[in-house]
Amino acid sequence: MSRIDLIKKGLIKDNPTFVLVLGMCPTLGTTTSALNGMGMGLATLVVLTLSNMVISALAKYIPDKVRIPSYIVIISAFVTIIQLLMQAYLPSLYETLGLFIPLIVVNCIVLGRAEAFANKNTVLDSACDGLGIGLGFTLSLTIIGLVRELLGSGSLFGWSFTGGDGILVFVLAPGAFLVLGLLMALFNKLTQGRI
Amino acid sequence: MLISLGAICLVCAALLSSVNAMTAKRIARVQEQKTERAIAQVVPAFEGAPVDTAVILDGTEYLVHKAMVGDSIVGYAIESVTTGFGGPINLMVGFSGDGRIYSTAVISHSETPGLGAKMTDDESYFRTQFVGKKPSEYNLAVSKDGGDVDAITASTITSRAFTQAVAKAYNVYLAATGSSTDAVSSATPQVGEGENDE
Repeated sequence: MSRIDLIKKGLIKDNPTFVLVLGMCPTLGTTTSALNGMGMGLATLVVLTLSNMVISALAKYIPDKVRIPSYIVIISAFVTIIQLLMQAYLPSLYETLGLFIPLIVVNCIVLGRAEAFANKNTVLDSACDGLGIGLGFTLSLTIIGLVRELLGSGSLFGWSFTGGDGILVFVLAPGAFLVLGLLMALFNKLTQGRI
Repeated sequence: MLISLGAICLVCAALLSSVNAMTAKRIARVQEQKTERAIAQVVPAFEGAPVDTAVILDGTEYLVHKAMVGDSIVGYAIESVTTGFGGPINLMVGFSGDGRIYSTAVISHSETPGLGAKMTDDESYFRTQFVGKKPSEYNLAVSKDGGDVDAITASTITSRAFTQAVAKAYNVYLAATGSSTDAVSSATPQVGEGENDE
């Protein structure tokens, strides 16, 4: 599989949200607006790509029996370093994304890709895989956030055009499940027979 | 097996502690700047750095930032914390010299975006309704609890916590000024009722 295909497959064929159905906790929790969804997606993209690279480079030195704890230590170290650096040097970005960063540690996509891909492929392939899955995650979260924000707050990317409230349930947890379920059905309908 | 896991943990721990040591100072500075910005936002224009005094009320220590022009105090900024819907709400409340609420600023919170988080909008009615109010003549409680504050739609818990934070700051303000000026402290008896039943 070429590297371009590795990146592309994360968008549709191995879409982490609609096909693999991984990382549902941050998906449901953070998509109250399009910007929040995109922020969570991008933060995951960075961590996923970096952790994939490091784990694929270290894979042959890590004994099989302790691989899971090792991966978790590596991933959480990465997340904490990124959080500290962002807090110190990009405080305005941290204000928007800060809430989501610790959540990345418990995102099973990151551990899932380490286990399913990074530990048996080269560093560069693993980086492409992380990038692709990360992009797919960002795209899905942005779409879910967009729909929820549009229906729930009557705005798009924070730009309000109704001047009032939307259908509040879409901003709350039940709305997250409704939108995710309906979008998943739509996704399956559109890709039927092709994946 | 033990050795490699131990080695990974050791390397990670070393990395983390060095990054922490590298960034701790800057993070503290960023926090300080945030507080300074919040102070400037909630009191009238002032000269120099605010003068800080500690006030202890109900066993909690509060920092009262006094904004000065020359030798006179033009405003007081007080940070108070209450628990909202999603976690603590840190609020900076500013009072002008005559005991009116000058302005408020949310320093940090974890309220639901699209609902309780609307309280961060400085222009919203919920926030502007506090401006210029004298808590001694204004019942600091949401209308559901019989007060004068209109809550954010579907966010009563957040609105209640916010209002409570303002009331708390006002009590600190009274405690801070009570010792120095008699004029304001005489207002104390009128305040009690409405805000203590929270």
